[in-house]
Amino acid sequence: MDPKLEVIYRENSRYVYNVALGILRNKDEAEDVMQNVFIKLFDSFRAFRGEANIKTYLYRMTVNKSIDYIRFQSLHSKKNEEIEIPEAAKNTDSAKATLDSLLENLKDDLKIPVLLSEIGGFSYKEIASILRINLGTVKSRINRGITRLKELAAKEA
Amino acid sequence: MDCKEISSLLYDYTRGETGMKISETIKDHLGACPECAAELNKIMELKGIFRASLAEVPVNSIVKIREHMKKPAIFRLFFKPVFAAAAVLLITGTLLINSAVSYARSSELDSFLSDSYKVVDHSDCYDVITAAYSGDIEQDIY
Repeated sequence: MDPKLEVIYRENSRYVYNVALGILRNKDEAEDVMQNVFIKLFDSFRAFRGEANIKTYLYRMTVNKSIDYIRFQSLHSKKNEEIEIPEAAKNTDSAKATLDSLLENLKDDLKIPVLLSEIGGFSYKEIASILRINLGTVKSRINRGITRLKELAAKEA
Repeated sequence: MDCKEISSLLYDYTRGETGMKISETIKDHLGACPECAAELNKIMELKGIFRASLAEVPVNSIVKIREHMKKPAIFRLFFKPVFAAAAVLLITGTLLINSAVSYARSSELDSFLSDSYKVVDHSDCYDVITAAYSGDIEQDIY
């Protein structure tokens, strides 16, 4: 594989995977989404100009593919297999368990901008571009999402 | 700015999304207001949960991608949904056209054959022959 593509994969795969995982809360599906997104990107790599363009595309595809998965599942009434947290790992891995339970109770329209901000590390302007929504909407959704997460975290504590 | 306004801007502040002037105001306010400082702490805890929860990418994920990239470009083209759909449409279309043409040809052939072997009514001929044998027709001929 082209070394350039290897670098793109190495630099972005963890974040792409975690954004998909945050939306889907299923490891296999998140991996599937990530692989498909990278394959699609690498197949049409020559059409891209600049790294910003590639990142926007990667995350837009990740969000769209993850939403497609959710739609497909709700169409087929298949229950989401949640991330398995082994009983023994729950104490040592409490952050993952906490985040999973918090995200479970957050609506997708609030969850996705928060994930792109916290995991993807994107600015509000970049999130607006990835999700094709305006900047004001991004700000308002992120603030509503964070407020809701704080409420949920307080309940859990 | 009061606490309510500051509180609504705290997450933006942690992301560097507030302008320099507002950031300075928030910073000064946080130094003097324990409630808002506690709010900021809650946000930082949330951010900590996100950071600590980052899962590692499954090791074998890259293998499937590498295998896909090894395939010749023309073959990979068929993995693209648009091209795959176009290929299916093309094949289906070709089959439909072929079957339509062969149906048209076969019905053409059927009608040709049926025309060629049409049952002819020979009752007139029978009358002429009978008349010839009886001698009635001779007069007409000459």
